[in-house]
Amino acid sequence: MITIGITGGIGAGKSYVSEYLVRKGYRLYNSDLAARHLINTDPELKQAIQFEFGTSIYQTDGTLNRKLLAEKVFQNPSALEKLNAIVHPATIYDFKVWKETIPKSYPYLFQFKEAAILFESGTYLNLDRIILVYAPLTLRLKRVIERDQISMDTILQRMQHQWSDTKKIIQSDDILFNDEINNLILQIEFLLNKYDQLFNPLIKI
Amino acid sequence: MEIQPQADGIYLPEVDFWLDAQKPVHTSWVSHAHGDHFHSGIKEVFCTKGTSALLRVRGFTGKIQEVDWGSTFQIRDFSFRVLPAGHIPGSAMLIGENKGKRFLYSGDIHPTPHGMAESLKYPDVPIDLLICESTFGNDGFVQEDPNVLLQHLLDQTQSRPLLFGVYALGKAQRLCAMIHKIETGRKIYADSGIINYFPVYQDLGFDPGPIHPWRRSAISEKPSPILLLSPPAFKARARDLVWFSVWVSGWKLNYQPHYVRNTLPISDHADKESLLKFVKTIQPKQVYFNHGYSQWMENECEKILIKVAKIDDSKRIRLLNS
Repeated sequence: MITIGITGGIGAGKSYVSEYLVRKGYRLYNSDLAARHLINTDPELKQAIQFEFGTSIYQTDGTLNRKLLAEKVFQNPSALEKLNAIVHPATIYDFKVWKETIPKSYPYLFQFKEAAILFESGTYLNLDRIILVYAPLTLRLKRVIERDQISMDTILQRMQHQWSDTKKIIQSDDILFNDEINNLILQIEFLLNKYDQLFNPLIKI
Repeated sequence: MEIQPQADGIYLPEVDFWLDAQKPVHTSWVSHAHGDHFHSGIKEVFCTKGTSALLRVRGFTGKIQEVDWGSTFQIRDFSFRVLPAGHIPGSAMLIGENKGKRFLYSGDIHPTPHGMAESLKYPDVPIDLLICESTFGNDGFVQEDPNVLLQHLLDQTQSRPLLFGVYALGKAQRLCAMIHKIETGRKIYADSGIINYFPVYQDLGFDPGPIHPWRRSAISEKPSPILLLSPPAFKARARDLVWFSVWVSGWKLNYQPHYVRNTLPISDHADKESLLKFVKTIQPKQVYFNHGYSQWMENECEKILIKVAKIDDSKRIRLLNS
C-alpha cells in the first residue's frame, strides 16, 4: 500500500484537501487529530506530559488544557522540543499500526497521511510521496484569523516553528495551489488520476 | 499492449481509453447500462444500441457512439469489436486488438440464454488475455433452474398478494417474463422506476409481457396481484403482512436484506460452473478476473494451465450489487 503525505503551513488548506479525499472513500490518517486523541487517552503519554509541564496541564475532565500548553511551548523552544520528544514517538507508532491495518474491502492502492510538520518532524522519510498544499502568506493569515480568532502576532509566532514554503516546495513531489485562483478540486482529481496511472500495475500482452 | 486495472475501471494507457469507467473520464467503453459500469460524468461513451437506449432512460447526457453487433471501431491504432454478453439487453463483450495481440473484456455475462437479452456469442479468434467478471466465481453459488423455483413459489402463494423486491433494470423485466410464461392469470404491477424500462425492452425486441402501474385498490383483486418494486420501495413495504414478500437476487448466498425472510435466487450473472466453462471455451493464454470473487476460478484456471494475472485484492474494481 502506497502512503502519500499531505502537508502545508497553517491555514494553507490541508484539512479541506483531506476532507475531500475522505469523502471520496480514501483512507486518511490525520496526525493532529491522532495526537490529540492520544494525549487525552494514552495513560503513559499523559503521565509524561504531566511530569514535564505540571499536573494542572490537564483539566478536571481529564482532557488537555490546549491553550495553556500552547502558551507554554510556543514561547519556549526547549519546552516545544520536550513536548515533541514525548508526543512524536507515540504518534509514529500509532501511525505505523494504522498504516498496516488496511481493511480487506479497501479498493484503492494508496492512502494518505495529513500532518502540518511532516518535513520538520522527519516523518516524511517513511512516506512514498508528498503533496504540499500551498497558499500565499496573506491568504493564510486571513483564514487563520477568521477561523481561530487569534492575533496575527500569535500566528506569525507559530509559523516560525514551521519550514518556509520555499524549503517545502523543493522537498515535495506534488503541489496543490489553494490560492483561490486555481480550482483546487480539479487539481486534486488530476493528482488522483496521476497516482492511479503511476501506481497501478500493468498487465502486458 | 498494456492494460491497467484500476479501482474505478480498466484503463488502456496507450490509447487513453477506459473500459467501464466509474469516474468522470473522457472516453470509455460501457459494457451495459447497470450503474456500476458507467459514470454520468463521462464525456463520450462507446456502447451498443441497446445500452445507448437504456443509458438515455437513466439520464446519461454525454456523447454516445453506438456500435453495431459484429462491427468494429477504431481508437488510434487499436481496433475493437463487440459481441453479445447475454446479461441484459445491449450487454456486450469487447475484443480489443493491436499489433497482433488481442484481449476480450467480458463485462457481465450470462452464458445460458434467458430470453431477455441477446444470447452470448463466443469469439471466433484466439484471445491472448481474457478480462473476465467473476461476480459468482467463488465455490458457493450454483444457479438452480429459476423457473422451477418460481413455479413452486407461485403455487404456494396463490391466495396471497405477492411482493417481489427486484433491481429495476434487468431482473424486473426477466422476472415479469418468467411469471407470464407460467400463466397464473395474476396481474403484474410495478413502480415507475421499473416500468420506465419496459418500452426500451420492447423496442429492442424483448417483450417482458404486460405490466401495470401500481394502484392501491388492486390489492383486493382476484386472483391476487403480484407487485414488483425496486429496492428502496420494496424496503418500505416488505414488512407489511398483507404481502408475501420475496427478495429476488443471485446474491442470496452473500447478501439478503435483514427485513425479508424469503429469497428467490435468480441471477443474471454466470455461476461458477458456467464461468469456468466460459473460460475453457475461450482458452485464453492469460486470464484476469475482476468484479467479484475469484479465488476458486483462479485455482481452477491454473489447474488447466491457463496463466492467471493476479493483482492484489485491494486493487480490484469495487464490488457493487447489481
